[in-house]
Amino acid sequence: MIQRISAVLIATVFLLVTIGLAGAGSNGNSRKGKYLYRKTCRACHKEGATGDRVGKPLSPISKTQADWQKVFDEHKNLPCNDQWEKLSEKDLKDIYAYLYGHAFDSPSPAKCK
Amino acid sequence: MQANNQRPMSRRRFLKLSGAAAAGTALAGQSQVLHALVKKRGGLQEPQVQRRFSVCDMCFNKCGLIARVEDGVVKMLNPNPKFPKSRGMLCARGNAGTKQLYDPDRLKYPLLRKGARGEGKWQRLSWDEALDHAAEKLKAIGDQYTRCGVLFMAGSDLQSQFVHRFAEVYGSYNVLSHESNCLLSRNRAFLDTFGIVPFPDVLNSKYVIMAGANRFEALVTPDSIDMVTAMKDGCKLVVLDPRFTKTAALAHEWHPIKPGTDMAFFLAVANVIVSENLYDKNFVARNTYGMEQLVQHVRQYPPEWAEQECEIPAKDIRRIARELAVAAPAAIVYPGRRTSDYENSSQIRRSFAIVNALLGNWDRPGGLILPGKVGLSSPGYDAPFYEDNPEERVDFGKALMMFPEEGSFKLSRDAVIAGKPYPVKGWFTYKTNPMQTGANRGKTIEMINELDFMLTVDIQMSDTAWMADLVLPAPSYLERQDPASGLQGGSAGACVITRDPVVPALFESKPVFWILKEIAARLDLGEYFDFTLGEFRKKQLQKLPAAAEALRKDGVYSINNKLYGVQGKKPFRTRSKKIELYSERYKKNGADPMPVYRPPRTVPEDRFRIVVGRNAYITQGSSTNNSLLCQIFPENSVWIHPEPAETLGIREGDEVEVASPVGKGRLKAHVTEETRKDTVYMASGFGVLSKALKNIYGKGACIADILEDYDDEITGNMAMHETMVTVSLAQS
Repeated sequence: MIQRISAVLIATVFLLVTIGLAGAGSNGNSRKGKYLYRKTCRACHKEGATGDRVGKPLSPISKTQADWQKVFDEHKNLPCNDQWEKLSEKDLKDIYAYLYGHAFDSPSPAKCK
Repeated sequence: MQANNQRPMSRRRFLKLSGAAAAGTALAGQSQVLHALVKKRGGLQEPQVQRRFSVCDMCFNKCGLIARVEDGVVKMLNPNPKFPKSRGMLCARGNAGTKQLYDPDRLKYPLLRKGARGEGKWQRLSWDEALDHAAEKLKAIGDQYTRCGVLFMAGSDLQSQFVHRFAEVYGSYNVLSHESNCLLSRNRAFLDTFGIVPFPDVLNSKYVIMAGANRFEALVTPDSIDMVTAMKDGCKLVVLDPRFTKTAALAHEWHPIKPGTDMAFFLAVANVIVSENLYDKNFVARNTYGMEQLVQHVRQYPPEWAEQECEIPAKDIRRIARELAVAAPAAIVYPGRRTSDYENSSQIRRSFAIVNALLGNWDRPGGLILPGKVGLSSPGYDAPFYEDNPEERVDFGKALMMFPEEGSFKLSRDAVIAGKPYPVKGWFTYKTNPMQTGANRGKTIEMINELDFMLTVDIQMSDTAWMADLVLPAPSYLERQDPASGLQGGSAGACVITRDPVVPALFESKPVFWILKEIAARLDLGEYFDFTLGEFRKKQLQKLPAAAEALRKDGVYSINNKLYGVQGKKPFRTRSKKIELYSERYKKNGADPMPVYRPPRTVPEDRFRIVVGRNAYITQGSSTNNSLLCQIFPENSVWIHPEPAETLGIREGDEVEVASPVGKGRLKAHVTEETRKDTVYMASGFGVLSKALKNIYGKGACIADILEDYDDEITGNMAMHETMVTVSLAQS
C-alpha cells in the first residue's frame, strides 16, 4: 500500500513538474530565454567550444519539442546539472520557452544565427 | 576572368567628382558625372576590357552574371553559364542592371528632410552629420519608448542580415521583411504540412498545375526556365488564373477560375483521388498523419460541388485529378510564391500541400524536393538584453500562428497607428518599399505621420524614402562587397554566392553594413560590428575550403547536394513526425485542422475584384524608373473585360478612375478578353509620389493606394485580392 501511495505521489509530482514546464512554453519569455541561453549555455554548447566542460553543439532545432520537454524534465541527470541549479525558476522557464518554442518540429523553427 | 579586386578610386578623384555632383541640386541628375568617373582614353585606342562576376539584384532571384567592363564602365551584363540556378539566363530586367548603376536619379549623398513629410525638400548632409543625427534619434527613441520603439524593415538583400543583427543588438524585436507582403502563407502551409518548405522539381515533372502562379512572367529561377524545358520533354502544364497570363497562353490548358476559389478546386481533386483510390497507398500509410480524417473531410467536396464554386467544369476537375494521379509521383501542384491574396491564404495553400502529399511526390524526381544543406558558418554574437523592453513584438498575438521572427507589416502598421500595445516611434527601412507594396498606402502614410523619426537606406528615392526624415544612399549591387549567401535552386542544387565590386561605388553611396557599423559605434554597440565584410565572409566560408576559389574562378560555388531520397527514413519535422494532412496544432491554435472551404466575398454587380500580378519587365517599384525598362513598360493600365467596359462606356486607352473604399487612382484602360468579366488587374510600381523618380512620376496609378488591407488570419500575411473596386470614365 505504501509503495502504491509512493508511486502515485511520484507520478503526481512528475505530472506537476511536467505541467509546470509545459505551461512555461506560454508563460516564459522566449526573447529573454534566447539571451539567457546564449549567456549561460552556449559557451559550452557551441561548435569549437573549449575548456574543461565542452558539450554537444546545440540550438533550438537540435531537438524536437518532446525532446526538449524531456531534457527539462530530467535535467537532474545531466552532467551539467550543477549549472542548471544556479538558474532561477523564471530563468529556466524563459530558456524553455525559447528552446521549446523554436524546436526542430515547432511552428517556428529557429534559423541558424 | 578577373577577380573583382580593382584599385579603389583615389580620394582626390572621388572628391573632385563628388564636388561636381554637389554643384547640382540635391536631387538633380548629373549624368555627365557618371561618365566623368572614368578616365578618357585616346581616340582609336582599343578599350581595356575586363569581365567580372556578380549576382543580379534586379529582383530576388539572384541570377549569376558576368559584367563586361570597358575602361572602368560597365557596358553589358551577360549571364554566367556556370551558374546552375539561372541555367545560363539573364532576363530583361537583369540586362537593364547597368541603368540602375548609371541612373541619374540615384541617391547621391545623405539627405535630411526640411519641409513637410513628402514635400520633397531636402538638405544635403555630410556622412558624419547624418550618422550622428541617426544615432541621436535612435538613442532618444530607445530611451523614451524602450528599444522596441523602433521598427526595422529590410528587403531581400544579401546585407539585410546586418539590419537584423543591428536591430537585435540595439534591442528591438520589431523586425519585418518583405515576406508578410508576399509569401508567408505559402511558407506556413508547406512548413506545417511537411515540416519544411520544399522546392518544386519542375524540370523532371510530367504534370504541373499552377494556380495563380505566373512563371513565364513573374520569373522564378530555375522554375521558369525549367518549365519550358519540361514542356519540351512532354510535361503538361495546367494553369488556373482569372487572367490569361503569358503562362496561361503557353499552357496546355487554361481555366479562368473564379478568384478565391482555388481551395474548392483542390479539395475536389483530393476528393477524386481519394474516392477513386488513385493515391499511393504505401506512401500515404507510411508517411502521413490524418488520412482517415481527410477521407471523411473531402467527401463533402465532389467535383460537381466545386464546379458551382470555381466555375471549372466537374468533368475537367475529375479528368485533371486522374491525369495528375497517372503522372504521379512526377506531378506537382506548384506551391507558388506570392500568396498574399485572401484572408484564408494559408489554408488555400494547405489544400495545395495536401494534394501533393496524396500524389506521393515528396523527395522524388519531378515532385517536391528538400532544400540542400549549404554549410555556411554563421558568425555568432551575444546580443544584450534590455530589461525595460516589452515582452513581445508590437504585432504579437494578432494572427493565429504568426512567425515571430517575421511578424506582419499590416498588423505592425495597425499597432503603430493605434499606439498599442506600446508606442513605436522610429522606423528604419533598407531597400524595401512598403509605400508601393503594402496594401492601403493611406494607412502607411498615417503610420509614418505617427513617427518621430524615419530613416531609409536605398539606391533610389523610392516612395518610402520620399516620406523619410533621413535618406542615406546605398550603392547598387555592382558596386559593393557582400557577405556569402546560400542559394537554393531546387533541382539545380544549392550553391554559395557572393559579390565583390564590379566597379567602385559612385557618389557618396555607402553599403548598409558600413552605415550600421558607424551607427553602432555611436551607440556604444561597436563590439557587435567589430569586423570587416571580408573577415565576416572568411568566417562564413571556413567549413567550405573550396568555396573561395570557386567563387573567384566561376562566380559560384555549387554544392552538388543529393536531390532525391534525402528524407529517407528520417522523421518529418512535424509534431506527428509525419506529413500532416490533419494538424492538431492548427486545431489547438483555433484554426481548421484541415482546410474548410468558405466562399470568397461576393463581387457586387457594379464592382470588380482587383487582383495583383507581375509582368517580366519590372519588379514592383524597384525598377519601374529604370531608363531601359520604362521604355518597354512606361506606365500601368487597368485590364477590364470588353463586356463590362462597353456597359460603362469605356474604350481602349480611355482614362478611367479605379476606386475602392480606401483610395483611388487614374490610369488608362486596357480593354481585353484576357481577364474575367468580374476581375480587373493592374501592375504595381506606378502612381509614385516621389518626384525624384523622373521617368515615371505622373504615370499610371498606384495599386497600393487602392487595395484595402485585409490579412491572412493564420499568418498576418497581407491579403491583396479581397478588394472590390469601381471603374468609371475619369471626369476631366
